[in-house]
Amino acid sequence: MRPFDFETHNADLPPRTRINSILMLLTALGMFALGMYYRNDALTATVAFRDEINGISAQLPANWLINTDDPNVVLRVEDVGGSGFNTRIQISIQTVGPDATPRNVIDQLSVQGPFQFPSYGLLETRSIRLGEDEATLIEYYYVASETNPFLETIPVVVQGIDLVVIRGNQAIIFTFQDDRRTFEQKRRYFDRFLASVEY
Amino acid sequence: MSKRFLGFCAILLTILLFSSTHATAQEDGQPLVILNENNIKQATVMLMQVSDETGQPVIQCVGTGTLISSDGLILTNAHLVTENRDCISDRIVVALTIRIDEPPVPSYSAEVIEINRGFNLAVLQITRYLDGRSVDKRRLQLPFVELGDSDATTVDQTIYFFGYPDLEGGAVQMMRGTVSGFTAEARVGERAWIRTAADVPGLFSGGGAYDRDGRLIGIPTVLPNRVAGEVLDCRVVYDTNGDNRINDADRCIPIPGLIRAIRPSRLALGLVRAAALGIQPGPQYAVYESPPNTAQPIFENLFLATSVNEAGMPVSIVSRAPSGISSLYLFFDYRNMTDGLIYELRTTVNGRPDPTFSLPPVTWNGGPEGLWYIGNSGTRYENGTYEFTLFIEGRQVDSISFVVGGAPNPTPQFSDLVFGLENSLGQLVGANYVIPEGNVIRARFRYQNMEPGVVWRFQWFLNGSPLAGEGASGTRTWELPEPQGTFEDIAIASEAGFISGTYRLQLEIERENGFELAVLSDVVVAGGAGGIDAAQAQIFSDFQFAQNQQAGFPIGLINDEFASGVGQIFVFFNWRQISPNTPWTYRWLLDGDVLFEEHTRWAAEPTGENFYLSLVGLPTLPDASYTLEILMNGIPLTREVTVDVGLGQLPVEAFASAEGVQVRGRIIDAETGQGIAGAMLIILRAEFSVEDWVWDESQVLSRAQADRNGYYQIPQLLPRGTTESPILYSLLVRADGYFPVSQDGIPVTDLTSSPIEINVVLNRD
Repeated sequence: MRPFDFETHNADLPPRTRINSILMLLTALGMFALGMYYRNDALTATVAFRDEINGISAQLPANWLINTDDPNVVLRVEDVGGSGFNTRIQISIQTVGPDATPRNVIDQLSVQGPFQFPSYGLLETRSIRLGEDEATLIEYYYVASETNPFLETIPVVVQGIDLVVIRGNQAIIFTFQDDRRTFEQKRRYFDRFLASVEY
Repeated sequence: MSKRFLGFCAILLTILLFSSTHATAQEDGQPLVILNENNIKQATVMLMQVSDETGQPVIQCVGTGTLISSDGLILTNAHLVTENRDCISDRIVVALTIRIDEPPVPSYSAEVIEINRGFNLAVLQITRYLDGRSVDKRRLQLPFVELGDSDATTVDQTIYFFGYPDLEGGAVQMMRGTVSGFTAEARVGERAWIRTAADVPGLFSGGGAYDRDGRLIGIPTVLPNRVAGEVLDCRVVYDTNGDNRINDADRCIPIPGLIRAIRPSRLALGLVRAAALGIQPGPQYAVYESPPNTAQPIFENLFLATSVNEAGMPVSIVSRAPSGISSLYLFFDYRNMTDGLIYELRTTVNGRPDPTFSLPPVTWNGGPEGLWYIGNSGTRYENGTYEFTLFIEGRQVDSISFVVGGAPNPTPQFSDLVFGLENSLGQLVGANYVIPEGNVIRARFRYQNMEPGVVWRFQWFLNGSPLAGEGASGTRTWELPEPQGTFEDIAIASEAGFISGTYRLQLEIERENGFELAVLSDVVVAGGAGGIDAAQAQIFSDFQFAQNQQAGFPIGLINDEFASGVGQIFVFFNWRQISPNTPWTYRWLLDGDVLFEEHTRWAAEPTGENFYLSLVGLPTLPDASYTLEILMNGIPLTREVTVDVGLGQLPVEAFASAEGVQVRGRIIDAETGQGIAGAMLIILRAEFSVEDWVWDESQVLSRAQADRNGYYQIPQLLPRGTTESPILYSLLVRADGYFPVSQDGIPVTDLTSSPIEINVVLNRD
């Protein structure tokens, strides 16, 4: 015996109605598929970034706010549509000596961190490969709080990554920062960015 | 991307542009007023002087202040933010009114950047968060008020006071009162104080008094009442000695009495301007310091005059006045005073205290000795017997009784006593209160109602002591037949020449009860002939500007023009024959407006070269024209001592950071009405519209994120346009899970009141 046994009474439906129902179903499925396609496209859409002066190019998430005016960084992009800390990807460059290693730069960043960010702490340091290059990465956290006393904003624990590669006498630092609660979920933006970056 | 924005048709955007809560009032048939009460309340801060004596921060003194710029400048009383005998502290904590009806919340610490102890005014800059982190003042964007025109204040005008009334943690309060008159005071002149009869709590001191348009016209000022030097009302609130008990062993917080006097905002303009531009007085050759004085401070020789001349001297002295007078000045000599003492005038009319003609406890800043006055003008004196009583540190020191009433009585009178040089014919030349050293000091005065036979006498003084010898004093009988005219036949001569110092001529007329004071005046003898007019002393000369000094000599570029970006300027000059302790005044003007004014006493040797004063810019002096003026006895002694920096005038945008429109509001969910935490509001630069938006930060003027209740505040002031040519701004609002919204064409003009509230309603996507 079949687990479900339905008694059907569609023998009386005229063929046109049956075809219309099928077409409607197919249309709905098609629209759903199209919606999913556009949604995924919107979520994964990118814009090209190219900095001729520093010789860096990458694909950036679309609809993120792009800042190239800050003299301290090459690029900063932020997701300003979020609800809380704005997810951030950043490229900065430091001049280093000819014998410098990524680890030297990481040590310097680790020392500077507590002076830049409240409640700064290190989570992990490890070496990875970025394309052909050796890179060193640190994960850290700090507390971001609203400084305007007229606004009631609960501080956010921010998790961040600084990834350092050496290019000649320059250390290129790729940074990703996000609210600790959505860090893993949004890290794919950083991974896609790293996969596209050329320097 | 703009098409995408426009495509979201299901957007409900409600932008409500209005000045934040307006309190309106209609009184006595006068037109409705717009007083931005909530903004003023939020700009009114509580100031706490705090010390860490026991390892824990303990509040030592409290008062009120007012935010006068979005980047954290606070105007208040100097005595509230400087360490003094009542208040030992190591930092100043600023508590803000976050919610209008709640007590203030300690939020920042601040530092004094400009101060004028004579006016009892100071400007603070918020510098740190309470955890010690530095504040980026450009990002503060605090609510603030603008200074109004205190000179436009009139008697019976309604004014509004804002401050924190008590120590019990109450919310900021507004009180209404009226202007009851104005008080004149030596060194400031007319309208040194705005008077009110309203019962304003003493802890409002340092706060603000506002006109109907919500502009700051004065700073309510009072010091704690004292009896025999001890604070009358001092409350023990905190465990200041760390013994876990609150008792008499703990330091108490002094509480002032009711406020009756308001410092006009006019006197704060220079300080505020200097603070906004980052200019401070720099090093100088010699600084006068009030000597420690163990002798009893004294006020004596009280007398009254109905008017005061430009040198701060009585025009004529009266012993009674007819009905209907509207100005009266109480003069007195003072000795053994120390700056910082508290003095007070209490006045009774027919035995009843009259606050209008009194002066509440205020800080002394007149130096050790001299002539002082307190007066009123523009207020009718009712008939009656006035008793003026002076107090120092709560101790009664002297009093005088005075009758107003009856018809004018044409008694003999002297007035308008001035001094000058003697020409070859023995005639007086010029009319002045600063004359050069020489062999003769000649005086001139006017007389009225005189007749032959009236006996009068004169006495010359030097630095408070009567002079002896021929011509130093004498008694004469009036011989001139005319009842009124000008008398010049009075002079004192010295073959050896008069030494520099402050001289006084005192004239008395014999009346029924003996000799009565008719007129007196002080004259400073200093310098040599050849001042800026024929009869004036030349005391200061050879002015030159330099970039720096070393061992008292100008170094670096010496010029009257400097390039932009100079960090400091020094002005050097020579001087001659100034007696030590002689009062003098110097003031710096910036593009013609007074920046600093310092009344002090001569602290260098009598004659010398390269006295210097300086100005320091933080970090650099702005482009402008800087002028130094030096005065003695109110008489200008310099002309066109000016240096140009850069363009020689302030750049148009010099005060741009302090001007503009603040934007704040709330972003809420259309369905629930709840605030949307984290929603982002972006305001584009005026040259971009929503259609131009390509997610580039360079298009963004400013942006803000909503707090957990949906409230936001844009951290930058929107530059204003004009009524004819408003600046139109565009905004974008985004939040996770909601349709984004946008709006073009939000106008900001010179008439747009600040802050404006933009409330946004978003629909879920």
